[in-house]
Amino acid sequence: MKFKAVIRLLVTFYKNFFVFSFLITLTCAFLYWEYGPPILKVLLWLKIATLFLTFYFIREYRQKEFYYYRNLGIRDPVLWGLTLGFDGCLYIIFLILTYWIRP
Amino acid sequence: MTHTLTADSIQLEFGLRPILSDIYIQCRTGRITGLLGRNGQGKTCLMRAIYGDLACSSRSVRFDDTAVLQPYTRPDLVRYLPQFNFIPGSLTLKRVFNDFNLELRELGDIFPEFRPSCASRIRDLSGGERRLINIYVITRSPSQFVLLDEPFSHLSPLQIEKVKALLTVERQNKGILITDHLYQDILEISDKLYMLLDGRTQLAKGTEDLESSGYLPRR
Repeated sequence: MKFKAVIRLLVTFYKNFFVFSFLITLTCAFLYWEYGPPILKVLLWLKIATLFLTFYFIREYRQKEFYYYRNLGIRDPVLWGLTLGFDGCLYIIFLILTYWIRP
Repeated sequence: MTHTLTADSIQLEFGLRPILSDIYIQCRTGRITGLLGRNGQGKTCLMRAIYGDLACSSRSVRFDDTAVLQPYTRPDLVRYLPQFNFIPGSLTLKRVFNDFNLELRELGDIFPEFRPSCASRIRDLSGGERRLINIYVITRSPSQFVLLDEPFSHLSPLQIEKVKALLTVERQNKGILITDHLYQDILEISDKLYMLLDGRTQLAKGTEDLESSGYLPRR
């Protein structure tokens, strides 16, 4: 399968939880802006907990759609690993940016 | 080129209840293999065991005598149509056909009465149309074998006839394993028929075997 087609499928899957996850990221960035480094540990655990919740709800309620990706040759661990990995990176980038621009 | 899919030594239990125990199924390119059995006999479990996405205590699935541990990671070997619709509703027809490398206009050639726009989203189609798209993309996509679990559900009699014609054409390129409760349609298109009874597969030759096994009421 072509690289571009795989990326397109990953984006389709990521759209399932992007809005919720991005809202959590923005909330964490805001809290970090307000309270600074002492709250970092709490924010990291909050993100990890919401990622687990996302994983649980998508697996529970979008279970049928996984056959779409399987039939196109994308295994579940690849689907989860790459999208959650990307989401985690986005989260870290937002926290670093907040750290740099915070007065 | 002719390919063979052989599945045997499949053992599956749910707790203490054995589901599949004595399985032997062979599919070949150019052949439609039917699988019949009463509700709860394990037809879907068997399909998923062959596809590889259901954990079993033991399993042997071979493609041309080469064992493949996770066939579901190889769409070039096998694709699976589950008994429910699996295509995400948010996708457009054009996108689905692009993903599966299929031409949308060919769908219109086979099903002329079905002409939604290529921008139609899957969720906007009727139940029958959705099922038709699910069957079509799995059946037409390049693969050595396809496993079809209750493909005829939600389809009108006319659509069932056309799907049967599609399967008959597609068997020239691939092997097809099909199960459905519309046993007369399965009997009509199958070149070989297996019955699943008490976790075991057995070859069936016609309605007499289905009656003697208790799948059909005796006349």
